[in-house]
Amino acid sequence: MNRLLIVDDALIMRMKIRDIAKSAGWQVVAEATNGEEAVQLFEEHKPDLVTLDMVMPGMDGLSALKAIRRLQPDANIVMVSAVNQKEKLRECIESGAIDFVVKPFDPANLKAFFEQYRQST
Amino acid sequence: MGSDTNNPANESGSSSSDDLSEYMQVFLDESAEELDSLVEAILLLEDDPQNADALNKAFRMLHSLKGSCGMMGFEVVGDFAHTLEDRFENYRSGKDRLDHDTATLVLKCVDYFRSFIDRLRKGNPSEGDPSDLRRQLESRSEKTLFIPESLLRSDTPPSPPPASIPPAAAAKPIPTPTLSGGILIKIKFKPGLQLADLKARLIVSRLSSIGEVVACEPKIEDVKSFDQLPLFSLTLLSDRKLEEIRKFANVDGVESIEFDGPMSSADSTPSVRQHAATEVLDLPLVSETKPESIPVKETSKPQPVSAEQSSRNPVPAPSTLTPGAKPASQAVSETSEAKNTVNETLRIDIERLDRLMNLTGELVVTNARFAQITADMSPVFRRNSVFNKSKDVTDRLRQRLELVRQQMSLSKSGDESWHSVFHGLEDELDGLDQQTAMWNEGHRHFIQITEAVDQLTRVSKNLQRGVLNTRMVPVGPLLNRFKRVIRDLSVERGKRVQLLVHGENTELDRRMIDSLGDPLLHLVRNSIDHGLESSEKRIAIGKPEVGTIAIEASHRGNNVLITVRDDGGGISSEKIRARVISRGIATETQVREMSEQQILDFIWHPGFSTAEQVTDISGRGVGMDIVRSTITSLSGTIDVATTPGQGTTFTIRLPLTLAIIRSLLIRNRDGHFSIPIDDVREIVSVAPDKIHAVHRHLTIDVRGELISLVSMENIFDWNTSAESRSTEGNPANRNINVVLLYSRGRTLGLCVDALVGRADIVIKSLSENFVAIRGLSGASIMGDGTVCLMLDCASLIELASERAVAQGAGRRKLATERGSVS
Repeated sequence: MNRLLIVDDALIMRMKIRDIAKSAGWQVVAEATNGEEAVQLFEEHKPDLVTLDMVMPGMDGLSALKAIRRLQPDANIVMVSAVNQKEKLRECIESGAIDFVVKPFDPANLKAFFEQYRQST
Repeated sequence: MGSDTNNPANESGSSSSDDLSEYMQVFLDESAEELDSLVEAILLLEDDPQNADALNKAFRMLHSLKGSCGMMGFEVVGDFAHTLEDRFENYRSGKDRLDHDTATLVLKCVDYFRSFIDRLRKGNPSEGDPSDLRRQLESRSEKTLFIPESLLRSDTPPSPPPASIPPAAAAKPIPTPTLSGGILIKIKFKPGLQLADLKARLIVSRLSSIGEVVACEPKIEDVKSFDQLPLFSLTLLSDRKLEEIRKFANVDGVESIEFDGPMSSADSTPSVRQHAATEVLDLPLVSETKPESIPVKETSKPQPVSAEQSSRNPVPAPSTLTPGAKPASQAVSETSEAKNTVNETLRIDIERLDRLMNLTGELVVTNARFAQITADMSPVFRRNSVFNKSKDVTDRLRQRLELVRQQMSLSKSGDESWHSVFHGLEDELDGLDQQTAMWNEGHRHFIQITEAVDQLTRVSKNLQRGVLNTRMVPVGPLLNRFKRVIRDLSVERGKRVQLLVHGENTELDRRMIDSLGDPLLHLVRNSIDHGLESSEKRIAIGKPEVGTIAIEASHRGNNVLITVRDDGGGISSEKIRARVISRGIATETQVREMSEQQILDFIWHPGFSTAEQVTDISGRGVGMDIVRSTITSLSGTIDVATTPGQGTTFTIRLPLTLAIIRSLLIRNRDGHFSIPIDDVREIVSVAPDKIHAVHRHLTIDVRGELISLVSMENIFDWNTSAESRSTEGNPANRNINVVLLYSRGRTLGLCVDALVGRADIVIKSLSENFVAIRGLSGASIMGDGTVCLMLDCASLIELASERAVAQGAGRRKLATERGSVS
């Protein structure tokens, strides 16, 4: 499994995550800039993993997480969050996020993260 | 996508310098946009401090800024953004309220961020020192409300305890792991792991999907620290294999997982879980299997597990993704590269787009040339007429030849020499037939060429449109930038002003957007400084106290119109008159003869200003002429209309793109000229006797409207003498073609020798290589290689009226600014 959906409103974050994920062998099937797009693109591409930003215009990360998991209860969603979004992040964990990454992230750590979640075939 | 999927592993390390420069542009652009949005939100908040949308937006922008600064390694700036972000978190959660002074302070902070971005753009990565601003912010927060650090960190959970954690675990922790048959799991986090407490929660939450977490140590509710949680242990009742449990516990950031406890690694006891659900602690857990110590100290390396293994998992886990596992729903083919539908963007240097646009323009012109050539050829090649005619001719010749031959044989006066003549003629006729056949072939080729040219036309039109579209950006961000200006100025001047912006989605060439900022800024400043009356005066004359400035953008044919309108006092023509005379720009007599519009046009005169007091921003008297020259350099025009007491409207008209101009081609003597089609009001054909001299000016009557008439000879000074020509060319009785030019509210008739047609012109500036000539705006190269000069109608009309004035004044004043064509 290596199909990834990246959700972040900041282009620079998407670029960074994209580059790191690719270097860890992931295939970025789509990128979304807000929650609505994320849900729509998830339905369209059924990715194996979603990295989901918390703070976005329109539908935020938590709502998108819930919406995606309504579509597919076993969807694999990793939250990407700043330290001070702790409360929301906790709600995300309770709502079924499988993991989270703290921003700003260390590229090497994030790569290890992506490698961990990728099947080594 | 995918080409760099197989990058060597070592590239994932810290960003290389290449990475940085690649990201830097994005960082700069995105940050600038975020700051614009932030300012917009704060301005909204000043009027409506509770506006939830604006609070959220401001918060989000600061959050984004903090994140990207952090990623780019700008810690000072990122920290400062963080401080502000926390502040807005409090505003939006209602813990605090944004007041006007703080908003002003936040705008200053934006200036700090902006100057950082500007420096960075110039290659100076100095982050500056925000500590002064920080102090000011802190002193403000002391004045308003004391917010405990813990609140700022949003650490105290106001929400109820998470449902996914079993109440038993939360309420009655098991002091020792030896109590039951549960599995004791000891998890060691990586040192310094951020939000380790949440990671612990995450693990509890994940494990809850495959069993019952009956105890945690330390208690999950007590775990508050951010980073200081090196060790965490929990007891799990589960029927799963250890390997599977490990997968569920092994989230990012876990260094090692140890198992301990009475547990069969192979078979499990489902009963345990059922009991546990009710009486966790008091239940004497009877286990048939003997306690077993599980190998300790394993690394957190993910264990590859087959899909078959994980699909055996009967529990609809909230997280079936364990490292390396593959969900059963995975149906999409891995190889099908799904199209990314959103935001696949690429940033391109605008210079490259310019080159592309220019080349496209050349292509369009060359294509027009092809079309012209095929059109010229079509009378000859269009039908089979030529082929048929020449075939007819040869057929008739053959018949006549046959007749002659019969006559000759009848008269028996046959001579050998005649035979050779006949043979010769027949050979010639055969040759003619061959020529006709070739002609026919040519006709077929011509049809093909015509089709190919049609195809080329379609493609190049589409290409042109496509390239044009790549350069178009909405004017919204440009217009909204003035909200800040207006706010600052209105505070400074003590005038209350509101800005209305319409047509934000109107698109315009990016190049023009960049150049429009300053002229628009000047117009807006002028409106506030000179247009809008003071609040007291407005109230006194019955106007709403708050003055209005409206900026509106719209499409009009091949143009974009931008209007800047205020509801102020209008421009006083009396003041202009007085100023014009006192400045010696024109004499009193001249001024008296001028129309209101002509008087108004003096505002564009260099060095003209009616401001009664010079303010520090506008009113330096260098503005309006520069505004106009900037707009003119964009091939646009600017007009002003004013109604005393009601306000002033500036209208800027810009072409959609600078690269291609639709033009009317005319011929005057041997030269070709182009006139932007937007400046052509109409074309009329006038009989010579319909031209009248009014006050020694030639004038024609177009449907009752008298329009003054000039020829190219009147306007430009030519190297060759014009007199010699006027007698030679034009037969007195022939109608004269007059192009009516319209610009800035004035109309002028221009006599031309011939109308050539319409063309899309790629304009080249003359100013790089030649002295600027008034009346000409540029040159272009025609499909056949000849140079065609473009007329600048606005200055042409000006030139014409200056000459008329000069003539009228008895040629007293020599028109020093005369255009000259050589």
